[in-house]
Amino acid sequence: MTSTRERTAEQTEQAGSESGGVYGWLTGFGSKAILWFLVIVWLVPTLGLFISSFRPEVAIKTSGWWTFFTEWDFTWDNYEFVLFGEGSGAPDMATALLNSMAIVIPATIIPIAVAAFAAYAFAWMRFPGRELLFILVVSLMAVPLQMSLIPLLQLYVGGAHLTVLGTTLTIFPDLDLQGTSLSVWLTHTMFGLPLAIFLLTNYMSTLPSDIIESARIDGADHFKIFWRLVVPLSLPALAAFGIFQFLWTWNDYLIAVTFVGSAIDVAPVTVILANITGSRGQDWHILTAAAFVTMVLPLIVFFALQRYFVRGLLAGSTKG
Amino acid sequence: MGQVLSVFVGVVVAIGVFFLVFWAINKAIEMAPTHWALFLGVLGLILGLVLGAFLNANVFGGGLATVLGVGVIGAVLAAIFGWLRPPAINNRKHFSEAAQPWVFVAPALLFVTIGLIIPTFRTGILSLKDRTSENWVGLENYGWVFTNDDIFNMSGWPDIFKSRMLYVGIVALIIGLVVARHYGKQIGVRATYDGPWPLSWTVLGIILVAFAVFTSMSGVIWNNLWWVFSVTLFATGLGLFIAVLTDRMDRGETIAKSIIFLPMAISMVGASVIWRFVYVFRPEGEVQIGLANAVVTALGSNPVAWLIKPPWNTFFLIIVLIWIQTGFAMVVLSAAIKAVPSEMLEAAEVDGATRSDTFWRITLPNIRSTIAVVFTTLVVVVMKVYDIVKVMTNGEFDTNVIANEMFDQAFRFTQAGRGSALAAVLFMFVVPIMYVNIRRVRKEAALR
Repeated sequence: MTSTRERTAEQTEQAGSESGGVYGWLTGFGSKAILWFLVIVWLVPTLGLFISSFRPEVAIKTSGWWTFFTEWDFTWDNYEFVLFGEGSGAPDMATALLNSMAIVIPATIIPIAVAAFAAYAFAWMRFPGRELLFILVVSLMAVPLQMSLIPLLQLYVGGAHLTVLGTTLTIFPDLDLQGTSLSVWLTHTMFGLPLAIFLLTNYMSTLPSDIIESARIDGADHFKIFWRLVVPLSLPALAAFGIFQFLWTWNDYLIAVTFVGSAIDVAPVTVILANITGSRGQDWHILTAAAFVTMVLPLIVFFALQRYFVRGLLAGSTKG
Repeated sequence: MGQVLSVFVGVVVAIGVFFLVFWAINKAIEMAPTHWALFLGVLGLILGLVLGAFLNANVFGGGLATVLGVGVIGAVLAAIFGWLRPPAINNRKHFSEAAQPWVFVAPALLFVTIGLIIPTFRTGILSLKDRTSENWVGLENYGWVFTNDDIFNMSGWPDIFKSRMLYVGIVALIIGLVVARHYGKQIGVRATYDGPWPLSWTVLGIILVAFAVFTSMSGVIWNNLWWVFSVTLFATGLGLFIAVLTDRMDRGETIAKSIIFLPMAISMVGASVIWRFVYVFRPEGEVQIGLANAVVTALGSNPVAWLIKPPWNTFFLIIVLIWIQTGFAMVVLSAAIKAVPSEMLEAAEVDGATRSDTFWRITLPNIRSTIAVVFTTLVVVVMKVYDIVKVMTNGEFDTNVIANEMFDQAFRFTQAGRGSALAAVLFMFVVPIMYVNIRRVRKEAALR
């Protein structure tokens, strides 16, 4: 198949250049030139930040980062300061990295566990209202998070109470969650579920039905089929969602700043970085290094597991 | 490190407990037909525990003893009841079959209800109340949204007609129409926009007219619309362009795509820092350390205060999100282009079609629905843009957007009512998109 397609590609390359026209030119040399020009434009901003993070403070402030190639001046000082710096003004990114971890680990694993059960039911069990419920869950993906923030904060801070005939009943206790990692990952868990259910249901329903039905006939209950058969077969989809959710929660700023924005000791990297931008917006030696610290882990995950990430993305990313 | 380890252990334990409880309930329902009393006992225990917790919180306040006590009493009562009056075996079997799916979806539904469904309705209610959420104020908050000059402002409309972009744009649209009719005549229809020239002239015209409007109008809502329009159009367009360019390239294709896609992995806060560094402004005569001004001054112009001068500063912020989202559009569209059946392309090429023809006649019609998906996805994402504006300008210099204004109203100025109203406005913009998505899902579900 591939060889056929390559051959015709060559043929049409000739046909294209013969016929000329915009498209013919685009697919020839011009296309490569334009593509690599775009690639450079896309890469340069990040490259500038990366290079600057290794330049001394004075150098950053007195010359452009592109002079780095002609006037070699390399230092680890910026990273040392943002990660382990002592005294006032040091951002302490090391702690922030751990805080991010403490949010991201539960926020990635728990939705997978909860959603997998629901996805199995949507894909392989028959019950009244199944399609309607599935559509309800899927439509929640597009609901802006902003719709939930105020009520959730009220719930975390004051619990939920119902007043009936003059007596106030507690439905949800006041757990005083504001300023804790728990409030952030709990929120991520709830917000991540619609996408997880959508993705996993779509994947699980493509599994061959004969193996599941024959297991059912052999007397296996639903839990056993789910655990022994469907979960192992769905690992690619679980991984796709896991990576998507990992990057999403690691990179999230809105939820983190809403629930732990004022609690610096539990704040994740994005909140700390945004705070530095506000308070020391012109100290580029700190900003560049701190920004790169926040990016290292997602970039590693991204390059190592890009295939799975793309799969998660293709399946639907209207996530609120 | 210890902190992360303890979180990890906690998560593993929590999930273990969750699985165990889930397994127990499932098992109880599975064996309900044969061991009805035991099943009712487990059910009674669970209901008793919940009731105990509720009573504990509201009436006794006595700690764990109440919860466990009521739970055990419930279990015993239910078991006795089930032992005395078990229903017919067929009914029990039927019940067991019907109950199981609900056990599987219950945890997810609980989370989604607490986190999304109830809050959405509550925000709607709060938007009709005052800042303390105590008194009803009707539509006052919405009135505030649409009469506040910083949020919704129509006063700039005469400037639209002073804008040169408007007239150039109209000319471009007319050229587009003429060219479309010309091409249409060749293939026997009234007009076709499926071709390089009609499409590019028309898109150019639309962009210029829209920009004439957006640069003249001010206020948070207009800014938001400018964001949505620009990011959706440019990211989809550029993404499609790159996807087509890389489609039949072998060497270097993956590297090029990875680099274009890379910003998707970076947080918007990080991306904002990257671009703030690109946009650094130093007064004329000083060394420019920002790339944008270095280029501008090298070309002989004066340095520009990119982020400070309205109305174009909003567009310079928009560029950041285009930079991020183009990768998304490219990846999705690239997959769609590769999925076009190669038999169709080959057949057309055998018939003597040029590559241009195959793109406009075969590839494009085949990926149209994917383009629509990218469009709707981007609209939803861009509508809620927050981080970039917050970090780069904090909404100052006329760059504010709905999400940032909502956050400030709700959490900085403690105006719960106004914040909720702004969130609801955001929601209403997204509702049509939700409708489109639901229809798409229904169609796909029907195909299965």
